[in-house]
Amino acid sequence: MDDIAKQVAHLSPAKLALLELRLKRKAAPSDTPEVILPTGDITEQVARLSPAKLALLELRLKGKTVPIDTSERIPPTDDITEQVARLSPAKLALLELRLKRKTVPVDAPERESPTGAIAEQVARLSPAKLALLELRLRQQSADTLDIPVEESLPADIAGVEVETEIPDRPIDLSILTDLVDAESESEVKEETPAWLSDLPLTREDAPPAQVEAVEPTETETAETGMEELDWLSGTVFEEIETPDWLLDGLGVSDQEGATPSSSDVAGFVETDASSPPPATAQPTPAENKSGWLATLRPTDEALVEDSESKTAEATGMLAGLSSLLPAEKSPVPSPEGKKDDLFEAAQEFYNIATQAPQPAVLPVPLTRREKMVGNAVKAVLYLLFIALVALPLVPGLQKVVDAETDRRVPWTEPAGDSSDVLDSQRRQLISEQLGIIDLQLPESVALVSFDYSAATQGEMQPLAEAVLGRLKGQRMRIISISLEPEGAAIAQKTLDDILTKRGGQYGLDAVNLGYLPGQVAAVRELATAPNALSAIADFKDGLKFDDPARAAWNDVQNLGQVDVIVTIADNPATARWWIEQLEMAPPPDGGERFLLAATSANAAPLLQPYRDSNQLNGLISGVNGAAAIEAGRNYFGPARKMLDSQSVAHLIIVILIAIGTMVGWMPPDKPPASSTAEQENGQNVATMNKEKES
Amino acid sequence: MEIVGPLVAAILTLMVFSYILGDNVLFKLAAHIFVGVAVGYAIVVIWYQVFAPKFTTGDFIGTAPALFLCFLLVFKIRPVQNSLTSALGNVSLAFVLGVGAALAIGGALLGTLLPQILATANISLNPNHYQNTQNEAGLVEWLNNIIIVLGTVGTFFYFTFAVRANGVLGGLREGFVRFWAGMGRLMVIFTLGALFANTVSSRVALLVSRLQFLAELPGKLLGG
Repeated sequence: MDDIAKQVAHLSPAKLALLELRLKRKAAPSDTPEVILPTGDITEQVARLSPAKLALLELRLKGKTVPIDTSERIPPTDDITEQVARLSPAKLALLELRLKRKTVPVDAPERESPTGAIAEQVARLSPAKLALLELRLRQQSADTLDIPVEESLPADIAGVEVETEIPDRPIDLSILTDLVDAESESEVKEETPAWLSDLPLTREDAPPAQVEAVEPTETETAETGMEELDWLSGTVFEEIETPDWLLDGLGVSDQEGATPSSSDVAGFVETDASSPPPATAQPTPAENKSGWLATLRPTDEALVEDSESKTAEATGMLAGLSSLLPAEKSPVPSPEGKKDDLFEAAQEFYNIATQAPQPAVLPVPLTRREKMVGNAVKAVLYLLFIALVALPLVPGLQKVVDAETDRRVPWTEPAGDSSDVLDSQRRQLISEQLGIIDLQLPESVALVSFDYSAATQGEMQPLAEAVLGRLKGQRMRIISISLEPEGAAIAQKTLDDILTKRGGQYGLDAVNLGYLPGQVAAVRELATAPNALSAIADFKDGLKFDDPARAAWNDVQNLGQVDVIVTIADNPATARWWIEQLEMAPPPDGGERFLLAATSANAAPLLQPYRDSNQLNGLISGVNGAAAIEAGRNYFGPARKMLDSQSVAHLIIVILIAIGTMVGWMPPDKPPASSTAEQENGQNVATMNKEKES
Repeated sequence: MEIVGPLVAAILTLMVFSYILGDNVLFKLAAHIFVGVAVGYAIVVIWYQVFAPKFTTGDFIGTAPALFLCFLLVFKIRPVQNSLTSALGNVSLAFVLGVGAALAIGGALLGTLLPQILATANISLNPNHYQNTQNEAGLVEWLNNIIIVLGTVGTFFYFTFAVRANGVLGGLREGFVRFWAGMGRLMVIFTLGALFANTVSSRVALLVSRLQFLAELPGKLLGG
């Protein structure tokens, strides 16, 4: 049934018109006069008509058989026709249903209203079928209400009819039979519900139809009618691809004997003129092979459902009707629906979002033996590196330039003329960075802050000893403080060592004020407080500057009496505290305060801008700076002893970096293990997805 | 005591070096000892350097606020607690952080930002302004100042993120910014490289210092 409906739905309006004509012709009894069909021009005009106008045309053709002398007339139906033409198929079906209700006699028993299932079935009909159905329904309503159909026709169609003289021809009967006929009213009667079967299909109350079968003359037949007959019955019908179901349903087959019997048509004509046909006279269901009408019939279940959900229309042409306009169901997209880009992207996102977490693919654990071998190899390499670095530290391997005085120099320091160049550079460095110290008068005060801990003492201690030695060599008084708790002890040890080596007395030439809590706040307090130094007890013996034992320091109360401030810091932040807070501190009594920084090598680049802007009056860093100070004194101290080892370590590191870089540039021989792991991960994901889908 | 101290230090140093063979108990033990000793020593120093002098001098009025704030820090021992105790502990932290932030901001503005801007603005790129341009030092200083200017401007442009603009001038601006951003990128790379190299040098110095201590230890022990 669906196939038939689809085939009809695919037919063009012109083919539909031809199909109807063919149906009319086939439905005509064999003994009826030859039907004169419209000419080719008319057919073309009909082909250009819209489905609505086609329906009206058919209505007009049928209306010719309806008695015109009706006493009650309704207004012309042009507006209604246009409105109907603009209606959607679903609303058209509903309108037809309403028309059916209008046709129900007042004294007729209560009938069931059409159900939503019927409306849905009607909504699925093609325009052609809808037109046919509408035509039939209109015919019924026209018969009942005596609608003057002629007046509702457009002028162009009326003109066509005039030209073709259709009203004088008996095709009206065939038109009436096409939908009812062989499509079989008996089947409709049996299969349709009561509300449909009880519709007044006949013009029971109407006057008898004035049917006048005009037999065409031979001339007309020869000139016009025969051509059309050949055109319609011949190859043209093959060209329009009339469905087999329709031909079969009409009894049209290769055998002409299969045409509908004349008694059927005659019976219909009689019925049309007098009374409704008895049920027994209608074709049996087996004979009705046009089953598409059956799809319009509501099922019992649909009727029950529809009766439960009746909602009356409030406005429009359907006002007062209930359950005629079923709510449209929004299509629910299914996962297998439209495969557009957005949908695919959403699907992909969904897959990723719902992907189960993948277990980490760990490398294959090494065996105990492999671990031991690996660790042994690494340990050997490390020990080799340490041995090479420690080798220059062995006293017996150090370079001795003067055996008598046991004067030693690092192996990396050049000898001869090159040595003079190095010495010149070192002197220049000391002059530029620590020249402020050389300008200080004896007994001037230097504040040294030990801002490093034991962790960096290995690098900072040679530098601190070198700087303190420089200060002590200038015979300056030294006050040491520390912003680190551990720095107090380090400062004390360093001062003790310097005083021991260079001569001096603790409490007179140097004091250690110990730890100042508060970090940057301590620096601020030290820079601004009037008794910032005199109020602090000594770290070693707890004495303050106002104590008689500290009489040498009575002139020192705060930073205003300090000539040089030296921060020995292992990080740039601590040195920056001193720089920044001293910028905001009041000027010293002498009018100028000097700030020096002795830092670790890694802090030097970050403090160099302060040196360039003269916020730092000197910056010396690392083992190289300490070695430069030692070299100025021709002292083979801890810093110079470290130079060879440091140079060896740097050389090894540079070589390893070069080798590592070249190895990194080489293409890998095999894919890395990570790629294999990713592949395994991908397989795991696919497997898990399959399991999830299943 | 002079022998025990260096000997203990040498043993602890070797325990730390045992990490060459992998993570082991000796290394962990040495690390724990260092941390414990550092904290214990800091507590002792703070007590004797900070609190004891205050108590001995009887300056309770000046010490009481600090002690009260220190006491409030007790409420921050537990990480999860009710709102009251958390608020009490936050008072001390707010005081510390507030003072520290104020000092840091003031110092950064007046001690770093403004002086550095002025110093960079005062740099002259005219070689005639350098008295000793005839020798190597003057030339190096002049070139160094050029690098400073280029590096400063380029680094500022490197952190310019809104580059694209419409129109011809927008394209011109984009090209200008991209050129200087490239210069700044190079400068940042060189700076980070210098920092890394100096950090390596510092750590190597620490290693050499320990090795030097170990190398000289036998002479100290034997020589007394």
